[in-house]
Amino acid sequence: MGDTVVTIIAIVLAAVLMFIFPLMSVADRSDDVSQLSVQNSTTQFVDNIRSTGRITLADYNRFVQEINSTGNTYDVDIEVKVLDENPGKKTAETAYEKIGENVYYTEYTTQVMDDLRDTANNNTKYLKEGDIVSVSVKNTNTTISQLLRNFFYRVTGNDSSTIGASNGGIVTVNGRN
Amino acid sequence: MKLQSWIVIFAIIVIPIVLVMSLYIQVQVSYVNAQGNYDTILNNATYDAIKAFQINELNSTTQNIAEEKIRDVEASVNTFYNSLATNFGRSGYAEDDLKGFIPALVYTLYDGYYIYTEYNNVVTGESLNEDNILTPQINLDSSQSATGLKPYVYYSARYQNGAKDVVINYTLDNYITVFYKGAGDDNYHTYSGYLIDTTKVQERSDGIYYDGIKIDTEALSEVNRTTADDGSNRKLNYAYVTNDSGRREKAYWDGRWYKYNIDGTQNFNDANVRAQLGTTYKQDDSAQRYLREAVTFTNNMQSILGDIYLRNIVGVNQEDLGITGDIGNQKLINFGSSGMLDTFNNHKLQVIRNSITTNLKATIAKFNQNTTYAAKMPTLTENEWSLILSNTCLISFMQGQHIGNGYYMGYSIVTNNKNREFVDPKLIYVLDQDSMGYHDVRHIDASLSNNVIGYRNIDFETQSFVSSDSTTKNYYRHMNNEGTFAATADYACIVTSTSITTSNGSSSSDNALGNRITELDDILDRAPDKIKKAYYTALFRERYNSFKSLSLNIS
Repeated sequence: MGDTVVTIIAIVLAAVLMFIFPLMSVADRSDDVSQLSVQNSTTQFVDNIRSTGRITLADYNRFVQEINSTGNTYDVDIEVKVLDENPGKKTAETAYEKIGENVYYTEYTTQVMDDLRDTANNNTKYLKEGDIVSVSVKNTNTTISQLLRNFFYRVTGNDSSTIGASNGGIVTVNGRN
Repeated sequence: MKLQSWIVIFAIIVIPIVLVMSLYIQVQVSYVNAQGNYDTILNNATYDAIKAFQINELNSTTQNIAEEKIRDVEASVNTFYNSLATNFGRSGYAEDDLKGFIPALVYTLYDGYYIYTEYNNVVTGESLNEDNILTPQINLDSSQSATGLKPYVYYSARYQNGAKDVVINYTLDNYITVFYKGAGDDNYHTYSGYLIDTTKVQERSDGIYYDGIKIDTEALSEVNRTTADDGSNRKLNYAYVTNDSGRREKAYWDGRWYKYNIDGTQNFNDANVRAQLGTTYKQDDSAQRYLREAVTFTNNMQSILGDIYLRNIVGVNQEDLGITGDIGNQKLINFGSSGMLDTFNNHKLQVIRNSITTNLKATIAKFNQNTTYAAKMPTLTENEWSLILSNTCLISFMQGQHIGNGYYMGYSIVTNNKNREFVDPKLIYVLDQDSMGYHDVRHIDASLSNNVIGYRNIDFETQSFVSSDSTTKNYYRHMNNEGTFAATADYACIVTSTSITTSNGSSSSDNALGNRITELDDILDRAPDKIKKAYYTALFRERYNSFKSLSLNIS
């Protein structure tokens, strides 16, 4: 009787260790590799925008294709902060110690995408020196690793993402050159 | 064997493999992260360095004297290292600690470039000579290394055709200096001036025309230090005068002419101002002078450069400049035909590019003698070259830091859009003096009044000066007539750059990649005459008045 119980426990353990554990481990590594690839693509995409002053549809499509080739689906958020020096200029310069108040106004993904789809505007969003661009990416599907972890540990919520990358910085050149 | 034992054996085999794999991938992820961080740090440091250069250059009243340029570049280098050190979180170490990772900093300027790098210091000491004067000891075989600016390299090329020997110093625009020795000459003759497409310039009875646009004198006006200091922000008319050293300076009209001395005091009795402007107000005629002098210079150059072909270039590998086959038989300048400067412009860019590449390769090779990690010269893309060749800029290289399981290697290029030396044709803004808004010249459908005038982008920047009560004050040059607000940038073109006209590229794939070729002349052809007139007059005026370190006319 005692032997049977031990055998059953052993079989369950064996199943967990021999199938689930390797599967989880491989799925985890696969996520890591995806993370690596997504991080790399995001950095490149943003650095390219910063050094050319342009977001082009071709670049955007290539970026999306690159990150999607990891087998997951992603949510891409682009945020452009456009530098506006005018508010500082419109006030009377009686306070001499003040150099000027710069204001940034922000355009989000939908506005940027509208510009990228506008063929009249060269399918390009042009930025100028001093603007700030940031891109953040996170996965929207549930990866196998998330699935397994949710099942076994019940620690991660269903909506949390495991693959995510973000990068941003100041644009260093006028795009319209 | 029991099932349990199988499990134990399996676990012993698999767990180490999984752990090692996980570790390896983590290292890779951190490597990519570190690389991204380093890229950002380098980019930021380069941007900071350019900003420092701009601030020093724009606010200097005596700028552009050769030593000042060196001072500005060195200050910019310090900023670069400080920014780098701060971002790496090791601000105590600064330059000495980091310079082993910086093979080169290249400052490309208007007529040449500086490379900041490690070089062999051949000055090994100082000693008193027989006349008791301290002189440097020079040992050409010295292998002592020092880090600093290498001598300024001009964008130049040498051409020989028969007995004719010509050296041309190019600049980023159409200004050239020619050193010429013909058959029977003992010495070189030197000429400096602007080359211009003479087919576009017509001298008519009522004035001078460029491309069908009459170039008039202009009523320039701006707020200056005096009117900013007294709080009135009154705009004064001004005109340019040539001073004793041949530089062009502003003279202001406030009932009488005055200019500023180098120390910032007003000078009402300058001999040059009196001789050139008299005692009554008159408008600035720099643009007209530019055209007339450029036409004369170009015509004078015909006898010297008229029979120079691209194949005549010597001292370089012609294939590096794209001179192969029939291309070598093209004339450098086709005097008198329309588009006479097309070959010249392309060739000039090739010369500049080749000069920078060659020197940079040598610099990096020298740098490698003293490092454990061999620095490599990265291949710059065509887009990057077009950035470098269209404006002054800083190219920085950083290599050799050990990150994760590899070495970092990166470079960054930042262009300097705000400098006094080079007048970028695309950075002339058109100011509507009624609405006090300024527009990009390529915003051709802007609604403008007829009261328009062109100024450079830097004229709309804040100016700062130290007032008589030793406080630093700021002001804008272009204010409304009441002095209550400064001219503002147009939202459609300058702030968001959505309404700037760009012309079509050569192919649809070019267009899709955002590589439409922006031929300014093509866009201007479609612009209303008032924009064209304001633009050309401003461009010619600014070019005529910008400082030239090489302005020689010795025959």
